[in-house]
Amino acid sequence: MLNRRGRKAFGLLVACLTGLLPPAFAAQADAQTGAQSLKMDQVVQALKDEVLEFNREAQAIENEALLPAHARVSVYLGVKVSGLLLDEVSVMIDEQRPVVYRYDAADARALLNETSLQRILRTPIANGAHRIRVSFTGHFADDKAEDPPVIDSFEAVFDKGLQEAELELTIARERRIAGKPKISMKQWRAGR
Amino acid sequence: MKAVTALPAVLIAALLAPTASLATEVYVPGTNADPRLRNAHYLTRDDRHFSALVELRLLDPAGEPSRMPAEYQWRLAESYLAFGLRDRAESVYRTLAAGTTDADQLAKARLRMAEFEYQRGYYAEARATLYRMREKLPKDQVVAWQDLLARVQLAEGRYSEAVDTLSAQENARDQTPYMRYNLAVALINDGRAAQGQTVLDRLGREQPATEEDLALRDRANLSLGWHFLQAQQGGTAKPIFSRVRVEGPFSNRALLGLGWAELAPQGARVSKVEIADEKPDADPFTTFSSLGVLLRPGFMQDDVFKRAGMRSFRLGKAKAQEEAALRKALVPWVELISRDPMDPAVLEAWLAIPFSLDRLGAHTQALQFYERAIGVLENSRKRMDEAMISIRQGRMIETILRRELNAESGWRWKLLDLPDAPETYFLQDLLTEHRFQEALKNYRDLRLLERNLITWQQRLDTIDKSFTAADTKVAREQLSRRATAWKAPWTGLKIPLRADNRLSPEGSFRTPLPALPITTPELQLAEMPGNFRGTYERSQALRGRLDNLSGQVAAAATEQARLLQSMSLQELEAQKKQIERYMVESRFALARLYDRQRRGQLNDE
Repeated sequence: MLNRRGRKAFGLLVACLTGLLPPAFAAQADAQTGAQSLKMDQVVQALKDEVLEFNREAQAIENEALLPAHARVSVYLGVKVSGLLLDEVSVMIDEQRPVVYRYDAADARALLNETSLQRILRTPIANGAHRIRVSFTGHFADDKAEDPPVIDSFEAVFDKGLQEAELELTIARERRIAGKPKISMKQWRAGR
Repeated sequence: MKAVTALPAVLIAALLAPTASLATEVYVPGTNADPRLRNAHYLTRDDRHFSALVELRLLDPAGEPSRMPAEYQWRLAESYLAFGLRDRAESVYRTLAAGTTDADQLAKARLRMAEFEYQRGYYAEARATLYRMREKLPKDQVVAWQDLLARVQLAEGRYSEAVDTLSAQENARDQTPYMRYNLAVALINDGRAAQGQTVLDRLGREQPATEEDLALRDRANLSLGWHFLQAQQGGTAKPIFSRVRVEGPFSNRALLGLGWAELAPQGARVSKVEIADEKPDADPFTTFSSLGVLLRPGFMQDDVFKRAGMRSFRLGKAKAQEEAALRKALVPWVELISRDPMDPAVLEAWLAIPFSLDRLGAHTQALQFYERAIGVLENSRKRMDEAMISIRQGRMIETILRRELNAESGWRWKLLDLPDAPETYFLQDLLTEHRFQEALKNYRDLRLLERNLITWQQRLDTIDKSFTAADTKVAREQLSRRATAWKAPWTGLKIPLRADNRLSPEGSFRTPLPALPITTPELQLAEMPGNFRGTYERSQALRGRLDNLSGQVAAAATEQARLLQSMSLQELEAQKKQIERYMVESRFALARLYDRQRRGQLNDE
């Protein structure tokens, strides 16, 4: 315990220490900075909205000019095998150069969902029959280093009509519970 | 087997060949079957909210989300919020709220919205959102709702309301330790200190299961310890500081407090007050090293005084009781000065030690310690100046963001670690605050928009080229040839027109019409459309918009960087002033000691 002089010094030091108290006890955030932050947030929101609208329109124009809907194919990929993380997927249409997509952990995890579909390719093609070749390599999240990679390949023919051809490739187990992950394909068309 | 081998080669080839044609399934745009909506879902899960929003907006070219299917609207609102577009998200959620029957999904969405509003500092809006959903709140969302509403009320300084929010349901058992900590803060600030102390004390004795629990336990003990210290209850503060771990985010501040608790008035015994919504608990056993062990002789490997280079000293002026307190106070402080001098608690200890030595009569050692303390403080001030220069030059923010520059995570982005730079160390408290983090997210997003617009410069060039590309040239030549040389096959054919004043049944027009006056319809060519907006025209209009937007985004990014800079400098200025105050204290104490030495009043040798 301190005497009077010591207590005075202690009081001074404790007063200096208020800045060291945990944030919950600290003073409220500076009101001026807070108001400026909110004002800037409104500006940023408005700009984001404008840039998004710009992107929508520019993307629509780019599609019309370079990839019109009636003359293109879009290929989507989904994974319905729990814990299967893709490393690489390759898609080739007719004799065009194959498109190869390499996944990092986040990309691969984002696909592990019933609803998720990744558009892996969008390219112009003529009307008529076309051949698509797909292959993938991947691994299970709990695989050991010595485990072999999971692989499969797939080949099919699809028809491109007057509308955009939309193909959904799904990697799923051959049977409901067990079986090797295999690729299958479904063709979609926008209704209405 | 034989039969198979006997199959003709053509048939085998046909069986092995891939399916020649697939049945096409039809989806309704904007529903969960729509691959484009599912692609947006994938992009959202991959934290690419900007790309998801572009995809979603392309799905609705009319820009009327309320006319799209509900699945589309949910996805759109979620992406808007994730990218920090609160106003847009709110408008979509409002439409959804009017039509949805899924109360759980709606409650979760509104909680996310209120969380965003709270973090961004829109407190009144957050409170309004939470009050609006109170009526139809599903039972399993009650705790999350209480937690958020209490945090909003605490941020607004509505402590009494925060206490009501957290205790009205009497569901203490369901609440998280963080909520109990907030309850304690609210109680203390509302003037119900005894109740707040009881809650903090209970949290400070919780059996921790995770690292996060441990940190909260330490924080509760630190807050409670300093609270008692400020109330001049040193005796009560001591065991509470002793519960904090030796190594942890709060250990330095606790060590400092522990020393001061020895010297502070010990105060009267504090009795516990029960809280209405929780029952008393037992004192649990813990296994980790807490500061209490510092006070046990023989625990530390080396004698702390020896480590600090202190010789043994004898009591000069202090009474026996005071000497014991001063000696005990030195133990945590000597430990503290062996730690990183960038921490303000460590700097404070550099002052507290010579102060105690002087009180003990070890004047020469006090003098030496003050000189060393001034050196440490000078060094800290120099580093602080360097940190300020780095902030003014914008280096700190750029260094923080460099690692994930292209991430589109928007509001969901998290600052997981800090670069190894002095300024980030000095600012570690500020960097964890919402006001700084949210401003930082906005700055990141603006930089993302800047880079996005830069890529469009090139993409628009590519679009332009497509209008003048070689294959288009062939078409233009064909058009030109047709315009000059082509003749319509009906050229020269004369089609007589006759006015008829009534419709006749089939076959009746073969009957000659009665004589009628011949009227010639007045026909004229329509004007060419004055404002034709084809693909080319629209692409040309984008150029101007792009330049305009790029300028606006760049200006906003500069302004946002200035805001971050001003927050950081404000914080550093306060810390620098603190260091300068310590320096004045040290120099004054040193001058006093030299003066006494000159007059022969120092007699500890």
